[in-house]
Amino acid sequence: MTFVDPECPAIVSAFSRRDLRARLPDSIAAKDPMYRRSGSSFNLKSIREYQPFDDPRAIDWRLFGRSERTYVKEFFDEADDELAFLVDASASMSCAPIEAMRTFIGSMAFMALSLGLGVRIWTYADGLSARPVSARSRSQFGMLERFIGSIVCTGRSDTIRSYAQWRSRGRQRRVVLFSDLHEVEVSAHSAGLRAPASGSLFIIRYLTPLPSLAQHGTEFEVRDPESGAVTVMPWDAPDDARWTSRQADFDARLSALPRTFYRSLDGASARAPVYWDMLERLYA
Amino acid sequence: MPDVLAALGPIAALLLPVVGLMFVALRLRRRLAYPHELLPVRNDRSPAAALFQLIRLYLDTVIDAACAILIGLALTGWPHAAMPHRDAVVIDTSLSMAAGMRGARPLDEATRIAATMFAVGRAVGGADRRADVYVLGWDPVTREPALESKSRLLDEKGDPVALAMALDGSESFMSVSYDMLADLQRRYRSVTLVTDAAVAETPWLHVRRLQAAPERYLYVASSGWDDMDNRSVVRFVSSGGAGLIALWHVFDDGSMARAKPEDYRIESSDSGFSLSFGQAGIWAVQWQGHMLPFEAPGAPGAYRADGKFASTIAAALYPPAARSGDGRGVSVTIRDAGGRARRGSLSVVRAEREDWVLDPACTLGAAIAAGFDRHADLALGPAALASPQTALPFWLARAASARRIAGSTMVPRQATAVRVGDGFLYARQGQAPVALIVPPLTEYAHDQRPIVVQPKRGGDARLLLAVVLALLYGAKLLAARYAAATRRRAVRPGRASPGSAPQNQA
Repeated sequence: MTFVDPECPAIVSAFSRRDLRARLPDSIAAKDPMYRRSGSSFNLKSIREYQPFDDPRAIDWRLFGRSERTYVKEFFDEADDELAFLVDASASMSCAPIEAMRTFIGSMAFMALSLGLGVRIWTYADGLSARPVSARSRSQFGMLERFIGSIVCTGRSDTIRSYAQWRSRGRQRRVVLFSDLHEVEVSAHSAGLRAPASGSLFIIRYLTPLPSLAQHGTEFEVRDPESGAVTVMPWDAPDDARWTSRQADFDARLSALPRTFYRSLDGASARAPVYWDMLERLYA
Repeated sequence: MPDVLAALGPIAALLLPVVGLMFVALRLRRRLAYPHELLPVRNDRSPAAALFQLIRLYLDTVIDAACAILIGLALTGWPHAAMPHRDAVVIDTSLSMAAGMRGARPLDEATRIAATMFAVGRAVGGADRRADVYVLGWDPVTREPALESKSRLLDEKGDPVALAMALDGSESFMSVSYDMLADLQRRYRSVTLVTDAAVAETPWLHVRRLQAAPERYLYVASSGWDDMDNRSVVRFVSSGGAGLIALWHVFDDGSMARAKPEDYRIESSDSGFSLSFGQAGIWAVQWQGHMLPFEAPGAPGAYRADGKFASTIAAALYPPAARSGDGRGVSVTIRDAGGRARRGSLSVVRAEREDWVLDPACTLGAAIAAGFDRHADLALGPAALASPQTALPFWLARAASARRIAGSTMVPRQATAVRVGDGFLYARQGQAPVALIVPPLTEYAHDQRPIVVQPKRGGDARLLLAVVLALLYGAKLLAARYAAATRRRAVRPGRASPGSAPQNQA
């Protein structure tokens, strides 16, 4: 089973005519290697003598053996070219259609790889997963697809904590946060969702609207998938209006975050317009 | 309270399916998995709002339960008036109650009983617990039975003798309808009827049966015009040794004068006597303590024939006065065919086959062979024409055509009632009487057949219940329509459109 929407190749084809690198920040787009940022790739940037502020582990001991002087090698940073995905895999995500979630992530990963961006995917619940899965070329997309297909939604979610963990580990400057953000809404900690320095944060809120599940004048039992608690919820037109108003307030709050792209999706939403808007934002 | 307790069974039975349906609805209630943090916060809602929402949610069940309770109460006879604590005593003021010597009449005994119950009730429980006194009588103005409270009158008089005297002046002493007692059933704890009639006791009606006065009466057995003597003959039956004391002539205005000997003839018979008069009129016979007005009918009209067969029949009928047309009454028309059961006419037709007999009611019980034709009153064949008893239907039709006052049922509203002996004469000012109403024979002769008073069922309450139930089920329909409309609005397209949030412009 493939997790790529059929519109994705056409979107990729439209965006491949644009020069993504030319629109990248100066540190990445610079022609002079001197101005490109050092990093952890295999692309050698320079060899220079060891300075006190350098990491002793970076000393090239072979050169030391030949010259009895300490040198360090610097490589170009290749993380700048990656798109990070933080995927909420807590139990609450199972309330919305999981296939639509996988298809969205798979499609975005496919388009990013097709346009020359690397992809690194973390899942999280109450904490960030220890081992992300990454791919740098389209030929590695199969491996990503298998990973996406294996995501199981379980456990409690803590988006703010997981995002903070990613900020301390990940070095990507563009990150896509895919979650229902239900605990963020309640705890009003959306301020903790700050975009990476000189980067962009894409927040995709994925949940099924409650009014589409409930009928007016009825009541239903609601089981919380994370805590297991059950409550009886009467539903009427005022409840409908209250829920819609509250979500609109939350949407407006998240949309106001600096350098942040925000969309709210549900399983029945058309995803292609969101892909296009996200890629436009990447190329901006 | 006992009524409500009695209704608990039916209400519980009717509520069972409602409760069952409610449990099924709860069992089949929709279940969702959804983060509780995303549910609307309801803490700010007032208890009243929560209650109203609960009612809205369970409106259907609430209405069903209300209907079940209403039907259950209706099955046990609800709504009743407030449980009464008082008793009622009813005095029968029919004519038989006034028979006898003053002071020893059943009426006098009845007033004593009523006054005693009235006084005892007041002594035990005060004015609120006294027994109410009613009088069951007949209103000569409306010509209908009446049931009237006399508690205030008894309160004012304070004495059974005075009460009896007051009743003597106010009541008509004709006949009563015991069915009117059913009106008191719901208003009183118990009803006591003081009467000399054979009224059967029921759980709610206690009867104080009084000794009836001995039977002694004269009553009209039959009346008609004798064509042979050319006189009006009225036959009386006599019982208990009652004998005619005087005969009175009643004028149109109700005044009376002693009859002159030349105005009437009297003949004795085995069961009484008969009076014959030279002309029609209203008379009154007087015996010990009573005066009974009666009517001597006039001569009936002559036969009129319409058709050949009818002419033949009219020519054969006896006596000659029937053919000569010297009677003052309305004539009877004998016609060939021309429809059945027409007032003032008899239709005849020839019949070949006589497989039937004439209606015994038309022949005074005689069996007369006849045919059948649905377009004629009488289908006469050879056997019928050969029988002398075939003249009976014609004779009865002619006798019925005589002018009568006593048999009149249509009394004009403007007619005023004038007391004449035991009866009432109704006449317009300056005109001939239009009706004469006398007490029935049962007021003179003792009838031992028990009278059963049926309790009244609450027709108005049923109508009220039907209206309330209709309103409740109308509310159900409206609620269903409202719920359907709000659901249609709730699932309108574009409710959860993608990317509905504004895009960050930073």
